[in-house]
Amino acid sequence: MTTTALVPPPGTAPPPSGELKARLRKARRRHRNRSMGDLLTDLYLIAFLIAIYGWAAVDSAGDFLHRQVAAAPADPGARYWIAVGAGLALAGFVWQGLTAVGPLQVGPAVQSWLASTPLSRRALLAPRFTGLALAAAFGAALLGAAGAAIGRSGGYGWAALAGLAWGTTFAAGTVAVQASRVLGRRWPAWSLAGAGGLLVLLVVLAHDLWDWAPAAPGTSLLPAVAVIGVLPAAVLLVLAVRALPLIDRASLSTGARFASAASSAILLLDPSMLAAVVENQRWRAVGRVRSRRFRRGPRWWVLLQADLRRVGRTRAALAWWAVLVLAVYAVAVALPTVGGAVQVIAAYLAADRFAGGLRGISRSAGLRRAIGGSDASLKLVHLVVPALAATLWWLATVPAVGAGPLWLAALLVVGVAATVYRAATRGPMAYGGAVAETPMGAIPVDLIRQVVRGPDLLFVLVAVQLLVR
Amino acid sequence: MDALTVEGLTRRFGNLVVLDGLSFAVHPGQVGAVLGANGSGKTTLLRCVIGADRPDEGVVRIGAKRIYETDAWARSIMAAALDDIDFFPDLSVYEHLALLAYAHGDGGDPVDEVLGELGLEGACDQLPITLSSGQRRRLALASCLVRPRKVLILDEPEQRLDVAGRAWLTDRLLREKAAGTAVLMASHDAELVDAVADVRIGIGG
Repeated sequence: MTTTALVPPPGTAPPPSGELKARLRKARRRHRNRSMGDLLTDLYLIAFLIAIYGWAAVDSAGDFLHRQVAAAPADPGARYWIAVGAGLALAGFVWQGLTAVGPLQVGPAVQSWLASTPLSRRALLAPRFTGLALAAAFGAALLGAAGAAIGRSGGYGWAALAGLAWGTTFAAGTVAVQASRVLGRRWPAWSLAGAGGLLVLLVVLAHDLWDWAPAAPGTSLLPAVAVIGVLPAAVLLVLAVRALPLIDRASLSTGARFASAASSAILLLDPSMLAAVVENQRWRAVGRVRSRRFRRGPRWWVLLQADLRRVGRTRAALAWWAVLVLAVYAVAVALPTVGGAVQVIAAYLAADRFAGGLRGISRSAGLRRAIGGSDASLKLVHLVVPALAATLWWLATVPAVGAGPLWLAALLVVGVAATVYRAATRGPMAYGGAVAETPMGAIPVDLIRQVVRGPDLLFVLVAVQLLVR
Repeated sequence: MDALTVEGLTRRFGNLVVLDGLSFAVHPGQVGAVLGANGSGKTTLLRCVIGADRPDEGVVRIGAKRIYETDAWARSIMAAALDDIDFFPDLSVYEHLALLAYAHGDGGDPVDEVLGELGLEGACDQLPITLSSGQRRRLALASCLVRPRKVLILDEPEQRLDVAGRAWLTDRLLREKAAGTAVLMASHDAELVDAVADVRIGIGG
């Protein structure tokens, strides 16, 4: 038997948590070859790549944005308030995302072997919380400064400070509600997204119906946003630290499944693994549905009924469909020159949420065998619903960006349906194929196929849209 | 020690009610067997009892004291082996058990003894990835024995055990009863349930 650092000492009282964690670290280090130097090298490489590609992205985005603004000037007031509304809605989605993954979580092994012991919960979670708060604060500060750089509005320091304060507020706030058994966890997300969406809707309606928009404030509000954010950040930090001992294993494991799937998807370079977990979570939340008999008819008719029922059971997809309609109207007001391109991309995103049946039938040969009929006929039947969703979505957004030639509209709608088909019928990831050497390292060719299949056609459609209109 | 009591436990997934106002008590030195068909909610019940899942309604108590998973005392008396157990990929079998024993202040059975009892001596230096499913199951059971416990929660402990392993399990559960441990276990093994169960908790109709 191997001598180990984990020989239990005499006595019956649980040991200090620091001592336990130190012993665990020591034992794990003995089985690892990775040195601190390797870790620092990796971190340096990641920071270097982010700096290089991040700066290039900010520069290009700024150039693009200002070219579009110069090409077709829009009402500055409408653009300002739409940006504010979009920012609020985005903040709501960020809150929703953070609470969906925890935000604090521990892996399955830690749950089984550490979280189940009397080890202080605060001691277990404190390093994770510190990491989360620092990452959120400095990540948001970086994003704030990048946003100011893209907008070329100046005030980089205030933008970074606002990011720092509100990043901390969100990280600490979501941790505080994670511990709460009383507070609902999602009302801030719904409030922010609802307020942002309503603001955008009102501005778009006022602009399109009465050709009016509220004026943008004369001076920058960034300093106020930054200063106002400091107080909730400080208060919520204290509340979050106090709440750490109250975060239970149930809430720590919720996000762990998602994080585990995400890390597997990254390690195995297979994004479909993450998509499968997200889809499972969605259906788990639905739980039970009312079963009904199908109307009699040929096989395709029954399959179509099943796919339509699936739509009725995914209300979030319908909400997403409506949000994307509003987004196109908002872009048409704020940045009219990119309205057409956004319409094509958003049409794909809206229709893709209705392709659950097509994805299911494509990834399971067993399901296709069980249902019978040719693969092509099964896939085509399951394309009807997403194609219908794309057509209706297109009709709903025509008033925002204009109809254009009829042949172009028909081509783009058919193209969007084809894009949905290509994306939903991606085959499983093959790891044994050729590998391409890139500046980012060796990448399996099949991964490129996985990522590109679908968006490639979308890119062509956007190009056609821009060239013709 | 007082009885493990579950009162009005309800758990829903969306609008699917898995557990509906379930109540029962298991006293020290008793084995409560949770019985039900596949999908009836046995594992969900055990997860709610240990705090790995949050019930929508209802409470779990030890005597008069309500159990919260965040309470270190609750974790110190409640040992559990459910199917969701996972392992550190870089720690050996022995190190896993030693870690747990150390974290609990060494109040359970000696690690070497438990390894021998479960037939894991030969695998004590192996990393978890090299273990068979049966060995992983034995390691999960061992994790409950190397630590002190007043309540033992087991989810189908007979699974993946061979004939000798099942005989050992029956004997071990009888010894746990004799030591005054309250055991709550889900099982499909009628022979095991007949041999050890004092309380039968039927769920799922």
